[in-house]
Parts: sequence; structure tokens; C-alpha cells
Amino acid sequence: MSSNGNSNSAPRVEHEIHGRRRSRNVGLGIVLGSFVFLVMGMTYVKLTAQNAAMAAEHSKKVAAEAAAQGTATSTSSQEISD
Amino acid sequence: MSDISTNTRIDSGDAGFGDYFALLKPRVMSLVVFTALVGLLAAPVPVHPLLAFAAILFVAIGGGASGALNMWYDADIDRIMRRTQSRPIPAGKISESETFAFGMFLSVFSVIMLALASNFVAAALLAFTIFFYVVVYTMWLKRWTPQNIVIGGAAGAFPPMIGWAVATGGVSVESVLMFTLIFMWTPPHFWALALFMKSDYRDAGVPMLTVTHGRKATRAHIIIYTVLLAPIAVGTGFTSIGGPVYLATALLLNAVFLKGAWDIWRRAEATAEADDYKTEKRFFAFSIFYLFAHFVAILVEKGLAPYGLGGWS
Repeated sequence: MSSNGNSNSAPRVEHEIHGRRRSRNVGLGIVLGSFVFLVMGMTYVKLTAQNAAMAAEHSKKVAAEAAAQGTATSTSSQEISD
Repeated sequence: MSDISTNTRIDSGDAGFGDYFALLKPRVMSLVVFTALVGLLAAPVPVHPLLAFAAILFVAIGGGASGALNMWYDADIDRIMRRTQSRPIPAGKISESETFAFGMFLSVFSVIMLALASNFVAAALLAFTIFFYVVVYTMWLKRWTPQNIVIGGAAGAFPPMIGWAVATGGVSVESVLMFTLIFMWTPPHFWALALFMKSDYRDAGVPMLTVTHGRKATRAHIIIYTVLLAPIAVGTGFTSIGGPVYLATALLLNAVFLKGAWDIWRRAEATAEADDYKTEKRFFAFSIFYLFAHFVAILVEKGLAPYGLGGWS
């Protein structure tokens, strides 16, 4: 690098442009990385909630079927005893 | 080693991250985030914290996108007005076409992501808010009628309604009242600003009430809207999002706000000019606190509810 006084201004301007570009690239990188994690988190929460709702619905259905079967069994045994 | 650079020009491709962030109008975005968050938290349906965070983030991005589109369309008058000359486009940091692409992309992105994070009602309300702010307010009303602030204020009033819709999937009296509170607050807030930023709007040719109807009429309009605002602000206290804390806050704040509007109305222009619009500036600063405090009071009521203290029950 030259040691005369005129060369000092050029690297400083170069540095400012690079600084702006770096800030933009780093910022965009952080934003995109955060977005990936956010979508992953949202997917996990949504799927967990959906699974819990489906499990609750399934157990309700099973309970309803069992209750219906129980009623049918008691009705038929009553018919036999009659 | 030689280190010679002949390209010292900083064009729009060299804008920093902060310049793009400035396009989103961070100060307006903070109000959007806060009021949307209050709408979401005040709703009777709980939302998973991560989904709530995502929803508020996408509402903020949508609000920011509309701000960027507003800067794209208003670049010509932003160059004239002192208050807006340092924005990225007038400052030569980002080009108009790039701002348009940036705003359009973020608008579509935020609406789609809000639909995925919450529901279609909230996403539709966000889409309408962006449309209203960019097309109805910026492109149509702002340069056409002195009532621009009144009708355009609706765009800034939607966020708590969107927050409420994120949680409940619909619209209710409470969310409409939060909307109306901001809607009615906007005219006195901006007209007070217009009274002491007078040359800016006149130079840019924006038909602010101060320019078209004069300053005395603007002062009268401020008190009319402040009087109309008071019952809405106080009345919200009797709904499910209100309660004793909110009601006491609203009564006190509206009394002070009305007194401020009365003082502005009674002032002669010469007196205002002599003390550099001291009363108008104080009223403007208080108006920001006024809105903030109302929404904080709604949050306080919600926060006290688990302890049996919030609300009227």
C-alpha cells in the first residue's frame, strides 16, 4: 500500500461501500435464518395442536362407540331374558 | 499490493440494511405492533405464544410494506417536505422502483404468512389495511381532499382489529371500538401536527385542512373530533375489555385531552406564533401518550383478570 497522503481517501470510500454491503448481507442472512426457524416452530406448534385435537376427537369417538355397543348389548340381553 | 478503486459512487445497490428497514417506517410500525398486540391479548381466546409472535410480526411487516409503498408513491412530495427529506428515496439511498418491488413483495408475503400463522379473516383484514393505506389514502385521498386524515386514519386503526381476529377468527363490538378509538384519535393528532408544521404541507401541495380551510377551521375541527372521541374512549370501558382501571384512565385522559383541544380552539394565531406553537406541540405530544395509555389500560384489565380484579365481573 502506498504511503502518500492521496491514497488515504480511496480505501476509506471503498470501506464504506463494503460496510454497507456487508450490513445488508449480514442483515438479510439473519432475517432469512430467523424466518426458517420461525416456520419450523410454527409447523411444530400447528402439528402438535392438530395431533392433540385429532387424538381428543378419536378418543371421543371410541368412547361413543363403546357406549353405543354397551347399550346394544344390554338391550339384546334384556330381549333374551324377556 | 495496490488498493485502487475507481468506483466510489454509492448507488441504490449499495444501500445498507438500515436503509431498507427505514422504508418500513419503524415508528409507525411500533404503533401497529403495540395496538395489534393489545387486540390479540385482550381477546377472550388464548393464542400459542409462538403463533402470537409470528402473527404480530407479519402484521408489522404488512404495515411496514404499506409504508414502503407510501414512500414509493409520495417520493416527489417527500423531496419537498423538510420532515421527510431524509427518507431513503429522497436521500438517494434506494431507487423508487426498488422500493416498489420491496413493498409489493412484503405486502403479499405478510398476508400469506399471516393466513398460515392464524386465519383467513385476519389475513383478509391485513390485505384490506394495506390496500386502504396505499390505494385509498396515499393514491387517492391524500392529494385530493382535506379530509384525507379522517378517512385515511382507518388504515392505522385496523391493527387491533387484526390482532383480535388472529385470536378469535372474527370481528366483535370490542374490536370495532378499539378501531374507532384510533380512527377518531387520528384527526386531532395530525391536525395539531399540521398547525405547527405549516410550511411543509403547503409547499408540498398536500391539501391539509390548514391549507384549504385555514387555521381557525382546523382548530375548530380538532375540538369537534376530540369531543366525539371522548364518549367512544370512555364507552369502551363498559365492554368486556374495559373495567374500573380503564374507565378511570379514560376519564382522566379525556378530560386533559378535551382541555388541550379547548385551549387550541381558543388560541389566536398570533399568540400561537409568538410562543412557537407551545400549546399545539404539547397537545400533539400528549395525544401520543393518550392513545398509548388507553391501550395499556386495556392490557392492565386483562392482566388483572386472573386475580379476579380485571373487568366488571
